[in-house]
Amino acid sequence: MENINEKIIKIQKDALNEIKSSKDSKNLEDIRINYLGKKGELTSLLKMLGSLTKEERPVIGGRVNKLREEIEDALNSALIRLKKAETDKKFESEKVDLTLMGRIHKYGHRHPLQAIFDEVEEIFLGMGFSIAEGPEIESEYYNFEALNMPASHPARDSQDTLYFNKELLLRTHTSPVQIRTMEKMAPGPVRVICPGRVFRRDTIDATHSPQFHQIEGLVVDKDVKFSDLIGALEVFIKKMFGEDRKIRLRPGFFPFTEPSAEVDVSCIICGGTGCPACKHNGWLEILGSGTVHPNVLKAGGYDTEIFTGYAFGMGVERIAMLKYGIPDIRLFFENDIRFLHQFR
Amino acid sequence: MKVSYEWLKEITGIKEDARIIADTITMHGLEVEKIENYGIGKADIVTVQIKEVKRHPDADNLLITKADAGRFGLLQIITNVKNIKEGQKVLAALDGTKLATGLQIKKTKLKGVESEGMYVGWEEIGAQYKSEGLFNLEKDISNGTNYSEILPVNDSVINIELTANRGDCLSMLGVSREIRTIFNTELKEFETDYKTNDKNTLDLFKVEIKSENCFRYCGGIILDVEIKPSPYWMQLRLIKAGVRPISNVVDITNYVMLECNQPLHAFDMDKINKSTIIVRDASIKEKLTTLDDIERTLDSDDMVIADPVIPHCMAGVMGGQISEVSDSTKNVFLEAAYFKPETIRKTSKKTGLRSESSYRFERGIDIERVDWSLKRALFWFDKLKVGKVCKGIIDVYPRKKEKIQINTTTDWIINKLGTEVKDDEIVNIIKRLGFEVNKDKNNLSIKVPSWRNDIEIKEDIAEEVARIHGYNNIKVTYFPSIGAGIRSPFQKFEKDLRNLLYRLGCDEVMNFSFYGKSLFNKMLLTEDHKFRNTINLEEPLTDEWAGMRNSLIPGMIKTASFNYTHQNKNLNIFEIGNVSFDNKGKFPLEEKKLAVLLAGNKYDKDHTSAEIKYDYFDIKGITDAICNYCKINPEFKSSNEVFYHPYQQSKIFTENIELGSFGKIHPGVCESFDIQVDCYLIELSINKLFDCYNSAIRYSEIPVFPSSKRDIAIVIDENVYSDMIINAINESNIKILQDIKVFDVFKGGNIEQGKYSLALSLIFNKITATLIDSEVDDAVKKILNNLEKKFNAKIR
Ligand SMILES: [Zn+2]
Repeated sequence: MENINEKIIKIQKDALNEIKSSKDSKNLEDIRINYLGKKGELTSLLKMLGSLTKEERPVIGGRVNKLREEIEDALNSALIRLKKAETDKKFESEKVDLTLMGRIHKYGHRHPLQAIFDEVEEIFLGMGFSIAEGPEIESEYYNFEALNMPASHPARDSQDTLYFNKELLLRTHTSPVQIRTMEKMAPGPVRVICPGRVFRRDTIDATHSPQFHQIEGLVVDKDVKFSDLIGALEVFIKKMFGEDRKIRLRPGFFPFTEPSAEVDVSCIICGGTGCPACKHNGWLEILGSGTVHPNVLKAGGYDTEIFTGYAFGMGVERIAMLKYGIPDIRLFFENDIRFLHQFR
Repeated sequence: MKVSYEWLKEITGIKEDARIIADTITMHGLEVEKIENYGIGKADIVTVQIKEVKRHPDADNLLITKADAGRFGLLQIITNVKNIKEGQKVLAALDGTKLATGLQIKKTKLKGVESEGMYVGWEEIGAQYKSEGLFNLEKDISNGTNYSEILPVNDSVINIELTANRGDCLSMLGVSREIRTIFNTELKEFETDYKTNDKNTLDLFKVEIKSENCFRYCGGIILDVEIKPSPYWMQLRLIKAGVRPISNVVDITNYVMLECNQPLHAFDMDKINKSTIIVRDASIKEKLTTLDDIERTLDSDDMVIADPVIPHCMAGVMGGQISEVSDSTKNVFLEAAYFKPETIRKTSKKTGLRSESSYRFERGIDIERVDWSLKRALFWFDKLKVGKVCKGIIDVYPRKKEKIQINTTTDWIINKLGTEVKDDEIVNIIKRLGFEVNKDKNNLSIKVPSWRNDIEIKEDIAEEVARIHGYNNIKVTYFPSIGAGIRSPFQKFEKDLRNLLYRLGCDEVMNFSFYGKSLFNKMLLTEDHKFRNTINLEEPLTDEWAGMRNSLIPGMIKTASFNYTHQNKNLNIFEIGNVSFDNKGKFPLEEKKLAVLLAGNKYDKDHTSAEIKYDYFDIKGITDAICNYCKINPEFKSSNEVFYHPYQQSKIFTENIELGSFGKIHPGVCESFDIQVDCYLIELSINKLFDCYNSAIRYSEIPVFPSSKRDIAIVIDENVYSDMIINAINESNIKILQDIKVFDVFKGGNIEQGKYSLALSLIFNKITATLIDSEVDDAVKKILNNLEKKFNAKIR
């Protein structure tokens, strides 16, 4: 009995020490087999129970079982400890320089002019405008005559035109689309914007280009007023340039509108306090607009006693140049990808 | 129009300063571009009289002068001005003055002799005019008088950018009328009373109008003129308006033009044959030498001012050399006329001659004030003692213009503007603008003044009311939409394609719509290549921009070249744009196209990957992606475009419609554009894609049972393409066949010459149940049998 007790104490001490100093899971398994296996130390202890008295057997048996549980627990927690150490080591070996640039995933960049087109189109779609398009090669009639600009009109001077022959030309503005749309829609209401490319006889430099882009708008309906035009432009400008932008209208002149107005926006760069972009007066000229001239409505096929309308137009390059701070119009058509990559 | 503030004050008596005037009139319709500052403010520039002129002993080009500067004493001034004379009164800048040219005057020694100042001309005192020589001031101005007391040089010149409709404001009178309306100021009437001699104009001269395009012609005569410079105050006002002073006669005509908006022309009367002026249309090929010494060939739609023998002027555009006023002119015939704006515009445009006169005639002047303006000029001839003015004027006025009558109502105007303006204010505004108005209840009967050629209809009246009332006093209203704004199916398709290309990593470019010969030659195109068949401009800006593009390809290659030569060697770019085609005399056809260009590396070498170059399969992959997106089945047909690699190019068809082409750009073309990497390109017609595109999306069931894959490798003839094999397999119509993939292409080794091996993965699946091996085996057998029959394909 004394002998067994001593053995139990020794086994306990040895096993726990061995477990404690074990370095890997393989070694732990050896320890398990050595103590708890079929031929292990505890099994041989149990085999010795037969030599004990009836009273001693349960006592010693209980102690052996307790020892088994103790060793099993120690083995399990050692195993967890070792596993953790092993994964820690593995993770450590997988350390990377987190600041290295990631693998490149290329995405396409939107042309800055297209970005402006998209933005303006979204706003007007939301305001119930559809999109109308027309040909870039236009007739004298649609580009000028129908828009109340006969050949003798001095206003034609400001639109130096590229001609193919007497009849055909490159449209100098997107306004011909207004006439084409009215012809299609009359006598029904019209509510469209007309985005597109336009052309003028201009030598290319930092501020001029023989091709550029415009977006025009046209509303024709019964009893459309000048004040409705201002309302629509105010909504557009706030959505486009920010809710705290103000607008200002100045009398202007376009042969196809009457009354006509130039529309200024409080400077999008300085907010109106003055900066080089707004020539230090706080305002940027952004749009031309007006109520549609009766001659134009007539050309479009409307009864001018019943129908009225408003129209407006803006230059896409100008807006892009202001919005992104682009100093030279030529950049838009050179397509240097270092330029294009700055937009999205 | 450049408006002198000092002059404007004299006419209107306005008190507000120039800045406020500028800001206010801008908001009411006359846009002020800028205000120019004149003069140099307070400065010691004073009247001096030359007392002595001597040669500088050590410098041939310098003179030593002594000048009496009144209370500033007797000054010694060294000058290089040649024609300075003793007794002459001039302006001199004294020690400490900073001139407009930036020069600082200091007492200094010039070649050993002291100089205490400098004689100055217009430019130095801040008038924007370069002139030679010095002033020659009136003898009664006392020495020492400051320059600012003699001449109102210190001034603000308001530069108004006039719109094409406001020709009436090309004059002080016109601008003053606006000032009167906007600021409620007075408007001083110009004096037109003058002394005459006892000769009558009508006895001395005759005028005949033979052209329909001359509506009125007035003439006056001044005898015994003495040609000399005009007074400095008049010269200064001309300078401020941007007009060169020339001589008293010419200056008066220009001055009155600026005052009254009436161009005038002075003839040397003795050069006019038979004392008769005939206004007539030019005869075809009639010759006339204009003031600028150029012989002009005229046409029947030009108008000339002639005498019974020879033509003298191109009416309203430019005077002729023969009857030009010169230093020896004794008698002057002065013309004031109204020419039809369209005629003047035509002649001026055709000849490229733009004068202050033609500019005004084109915009329409005040026909009712032609005689009055002439009298104003005669007033100046008398007042400035240029010569003896004859009694009476000639006035031939065959086509009297009736005043335009506009009838409307205050309600209509209010409704049109959409804002409340009181009836009284409406009437008041119209009256202040110089219109005659009769109001009966809310009916307005309006007569348009003769100077407002831009007002014709009631909408014009609404604008006048609105601009004077103030656009920004109009209360905003809204006219909301009752419908939805949508893109058309085509517009949506275009936008979807654009978005697809962004997702494929393509950067968007916008090229020019024009191109020309140099680009075609650089592309090594044959003389009859279809790209050269452009619609050409009548007068292109440059040869490079001679016609309209019918393809996006040349522009794409040009952009690739621009980038390559600017260190951007790797490109993945696309463009969506319009091209146009001649339509045999009918309206040209336009089409929307799409092009993608790849160049250089897809990926540069870095820590994640080796360098990967773009190759044929990248451009083919983009082609496939677009076709998949549009759900169309492409067919690839052989192509022989000169700008593509001969064996790496293909046309794309679907349902017998040619959509476009793609391929590797010919290395020779790349070289010609200085591009030293491989480039690949595709161009497709968006219109045609749209016609074939299937927009419907229907869900198809996703299989739940596992699929089964079999790999096969076959050996076939070189001229049998992979898509022929795939099509043939698809045609076998095997229901359980879900997908076919090529996973290897191999040539050489133990494979017979002229043949190659194609390895395919066949994926089988059944929606309803798990496949049984024998089903798949049967299918593969069937496929292989078919391929053997059709292409003599042998299993490898
Ligand atoms: Zn600003």
